[in-house]
Amino acid sequence: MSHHIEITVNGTHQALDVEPRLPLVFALREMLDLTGTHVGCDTTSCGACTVLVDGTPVKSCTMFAVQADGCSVETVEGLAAGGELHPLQKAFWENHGLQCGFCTPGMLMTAKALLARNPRPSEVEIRRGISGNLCRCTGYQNIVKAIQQAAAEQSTAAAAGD
Amino acid sequence: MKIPMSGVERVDASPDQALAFVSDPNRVGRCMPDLEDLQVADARHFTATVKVGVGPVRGHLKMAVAITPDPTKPNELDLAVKGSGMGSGMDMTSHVRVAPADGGAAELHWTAEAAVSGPLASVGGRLLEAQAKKTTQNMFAAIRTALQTAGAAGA
Amino acid sequence: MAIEAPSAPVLGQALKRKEDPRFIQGQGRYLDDIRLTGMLYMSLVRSPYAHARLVKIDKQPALAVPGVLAVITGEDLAGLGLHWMPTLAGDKQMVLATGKVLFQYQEVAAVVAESRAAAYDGAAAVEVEYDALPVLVDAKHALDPGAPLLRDDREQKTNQIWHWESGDSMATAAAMAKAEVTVKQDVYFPRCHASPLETCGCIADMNKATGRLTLYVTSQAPHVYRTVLAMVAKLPEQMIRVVSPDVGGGFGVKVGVYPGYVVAVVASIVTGHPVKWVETRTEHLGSTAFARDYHMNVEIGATKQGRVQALRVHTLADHGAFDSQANPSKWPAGLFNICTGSYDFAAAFVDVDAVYTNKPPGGVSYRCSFRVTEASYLIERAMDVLAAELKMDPADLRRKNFIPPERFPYTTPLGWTYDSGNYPANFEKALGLIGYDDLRREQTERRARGELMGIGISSFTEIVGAGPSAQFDILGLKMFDSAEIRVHPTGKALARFGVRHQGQGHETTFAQIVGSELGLPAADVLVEEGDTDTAPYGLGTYGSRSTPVAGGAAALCARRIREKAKKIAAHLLECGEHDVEWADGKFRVAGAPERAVTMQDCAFAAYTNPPPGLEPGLEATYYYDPPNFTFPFGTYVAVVDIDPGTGEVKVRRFLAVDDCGVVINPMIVDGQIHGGLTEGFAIAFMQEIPYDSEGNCLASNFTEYLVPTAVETPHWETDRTTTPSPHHPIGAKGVGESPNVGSPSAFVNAVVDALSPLGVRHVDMPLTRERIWRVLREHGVVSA
Repeated sequence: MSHHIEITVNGTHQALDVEPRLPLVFALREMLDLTGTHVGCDTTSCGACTVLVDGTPVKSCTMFAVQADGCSVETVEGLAAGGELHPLQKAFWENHGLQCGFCTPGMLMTAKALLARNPRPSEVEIRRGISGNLCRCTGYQNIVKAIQQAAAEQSTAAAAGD
Repeated sequence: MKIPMSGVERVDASPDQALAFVSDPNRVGRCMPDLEDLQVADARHFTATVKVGVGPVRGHLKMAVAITPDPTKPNELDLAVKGSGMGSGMDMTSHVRVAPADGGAAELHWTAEAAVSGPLASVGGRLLEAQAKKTTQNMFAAIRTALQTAGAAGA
Repeated sequence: MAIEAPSAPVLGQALKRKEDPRFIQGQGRYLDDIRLTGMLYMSLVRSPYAHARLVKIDKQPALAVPGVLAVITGEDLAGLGLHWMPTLAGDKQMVLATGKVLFQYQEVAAVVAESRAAAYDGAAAVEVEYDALPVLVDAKHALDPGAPLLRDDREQKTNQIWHWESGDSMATAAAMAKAEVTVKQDVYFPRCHASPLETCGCIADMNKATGRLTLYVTSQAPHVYRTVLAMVAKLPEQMIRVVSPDVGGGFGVKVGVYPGYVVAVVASIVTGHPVKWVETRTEHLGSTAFARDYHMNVEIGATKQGRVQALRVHTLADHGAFDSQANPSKWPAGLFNICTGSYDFAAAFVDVDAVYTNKPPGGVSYRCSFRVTEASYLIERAMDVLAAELKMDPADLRRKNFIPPERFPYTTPLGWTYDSGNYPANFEKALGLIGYDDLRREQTERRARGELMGIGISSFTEIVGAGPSAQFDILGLKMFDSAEIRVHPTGKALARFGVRHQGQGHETTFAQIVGSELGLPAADVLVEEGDTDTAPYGLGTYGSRSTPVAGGAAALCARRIREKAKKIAAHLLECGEHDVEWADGKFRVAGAPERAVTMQDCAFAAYTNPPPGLEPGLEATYYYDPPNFTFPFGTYVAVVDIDPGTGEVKVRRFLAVDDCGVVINPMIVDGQIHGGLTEGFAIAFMQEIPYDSEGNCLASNFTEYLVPTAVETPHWETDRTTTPSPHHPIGAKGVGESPNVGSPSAFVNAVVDALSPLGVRHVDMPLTRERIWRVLREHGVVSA
């Protein structure tokens, strides 16, 4: 039995017929071909599948697609607006904030929501803010640095825009 | 993990009635807690499907039960339970001795040891022991209740 | 061919990684991102029992599940002779169980279905009847007379897999007997698991029309997979193509060939469709290769002044149900006999007994060169035990016993020849940077106040870069590695390698090596790995072997191209070849350096204007057989504070001063060190896969098996010394695993140092709050 849902993904309206038990992550990956969002565990522990649902970071392996009906979903594929890298993407690249890259999409989305909430977080706040996302490669140090850089850049840009 | 358990249930029935009850797949089978289906194969064997939930691990276990009367001690019997489901396994051996009690009643002295394997043990592990004990106690309590009801109905 | 000193315009620079743009935009192509037309999904039925007879498998309930197309059992595979497969250690392993199961989560049946969900539903519906058998969980009881025999398929009716010895037992016994001071300690390195964020998986695609099998698989060693598959499935090797797409972390777990891959191949052959199989995290932790599980006993004999003389080690190794891990065939305990470490021992002897248990197979896969982690942990821990016995500062004990710089190349009593080292310089740099003497003074003051502060040192030596073909092979395959470089007419290059990175940054660092050798910007060198149809043969990326072996191949392959380009340069410069020099990234006329041509000029000429008689084109292949291992080293210092009420350990500071020889990209080296230290931190404080008495895995997901988050992970301080490897073409040694190998002992030494006023000499990992709290309670620091 399938349910009809309508969601906006990275600004594009999508109508999908999904099984009620289908996790959102598989709807994104296998029905919409947005494979940037990854699956890393069975227990909502790792955060590789983090996307933003109406601006809130959500582990999309633990949300059913039907629960996202009517919501706006943002994935890593939507980060670079108009082909220009998002300040977080640029900062992750410049600071070596990734190695194998598997956790990166979820980490970027969590960081985006963190900076939206708290534009100038302290190191401790950043570390707490990304503590739902596991990384096996980097030891987080360069991820923290990258988020600090992006925060500084965004604040400067915001100040310039005022 | 291996879980040893034991208990004594006083039942309002004669030792003979109690022994007959626990030896009868049709009657003892219905005392399995959270029973969803009972298939009696013969006078000594039955299969019961029960609902199980231990922490996050939830589903059904299909249990094959064999009743083996002790050839030398007429008041004693073994119940061997082999369960599978939810990618898990459960093996339980239990021994029941029916002893006379005051006022013509009987006591069920039971011991059991359950060995649980699979996600039921590895994920549910920390909750499993208490749960297994409760379930087994519930079963013997259900036997007591059933005997009481049967006794009352028979009176 | 002459090995010239490299000119290094792009070597040593912190270039941003070339692989990153795709990853930060969600455009990586990992295994599960691949979907082929008509692809089916497979799920495995696994044993709940650790040891049981397999009585009956009923496929019917699974076949009744909508979408399920096939159920495959061990009996089905037996019909094809595929129910067992050889392991990379020379043992054999069940593909799908027949007869009995030997560990929990062992592969019992496979369900193939039209969708992922139907495959899971089908797997849950398969009914398997087992008869439980006595379970052997504790390796220490494996050789007991009454122990259940696990591997009745073997000729040898024992749970012992092998016994291995290294060193001179008589000389060691004699030296030990004469020693003024001896210490002895049991040290257990717990069973842990690398658990990269991407689990293992594959897509097997057998094209019936062409007879060609393509296996997309999360593999660190695609060529080895191709050869093993050819051997197992008896397919002609040219008809197999193994593609390892982007790999989401490996750390050694993705070296072995797992039963699921073989079953997926069979499923594709049976159904005529591509078949995808991706593990869940539980399957990954419960069945793929674990690491360590070494029960070690160490003895050191020394003088009263603290000069070490003899080392004796006995180890019981728990390998699980099959001896499965890639291991050099002549070295069953891998490189464990590197356990004399950085110290000058006159005599040493090591023996290892490996046994089977009812646990998943594995042993070496967690950022570790074949047991070097256990060896390093053991000697660094034992040196601290000796220091405690002698009431000596562990730093002073180390200083007294370092192999002096002038004795390199140095041959250890266990047979290794260390290439280069300057231990005192590295050590003093670290102790100076961290302010060791001040920390000791602070510790004295804190101790007087009843506080528990500890300082731990690890001054380790690593052995990486397996390995020289005279000694090293896996299943007979010599452990060389290879590079193939093509320089295109416009002077841009394509470089392919037999190794397979999983986050190490080869697309950048190998471009830097090739670029620096050819005088090209790294941006102009495209690095490709992972496709056996295009890459030259190689043994893969693990054991920090990529830079020492494939990195050597990269440099020498580029030099081979330079040799040819030099002939072209002479032609273009209208001079003799002997008048041409390579300097500052150009070919120049000797004595007239302003007359020069670039590599780009030579490349264009190679296709448009080759010298008469010279074969056109500019390509080369190089298979590099390293003359020796490389021996990176370093000094790590941890400073910890323990909460006497809760047992919680706080890592206040951690400094890593590594020496990995010549550095290709310092940013990437630091990143490797941060990551490896975080793994070492996890191993020291939180990671273990315990089993209960029935062989149930008690850490089969990330709520039980812990990966540190950004909150717990300490801030890492790093620095370096540089002692080039004398035999490596660019002097590099490799760095990936040093921080995982070297750090657990620094953490444990720090914690034991903090507890030493209580008389504590050793505590086994993981140093969880509970474990430390129990130690504190035993010693009356906290009341019950």
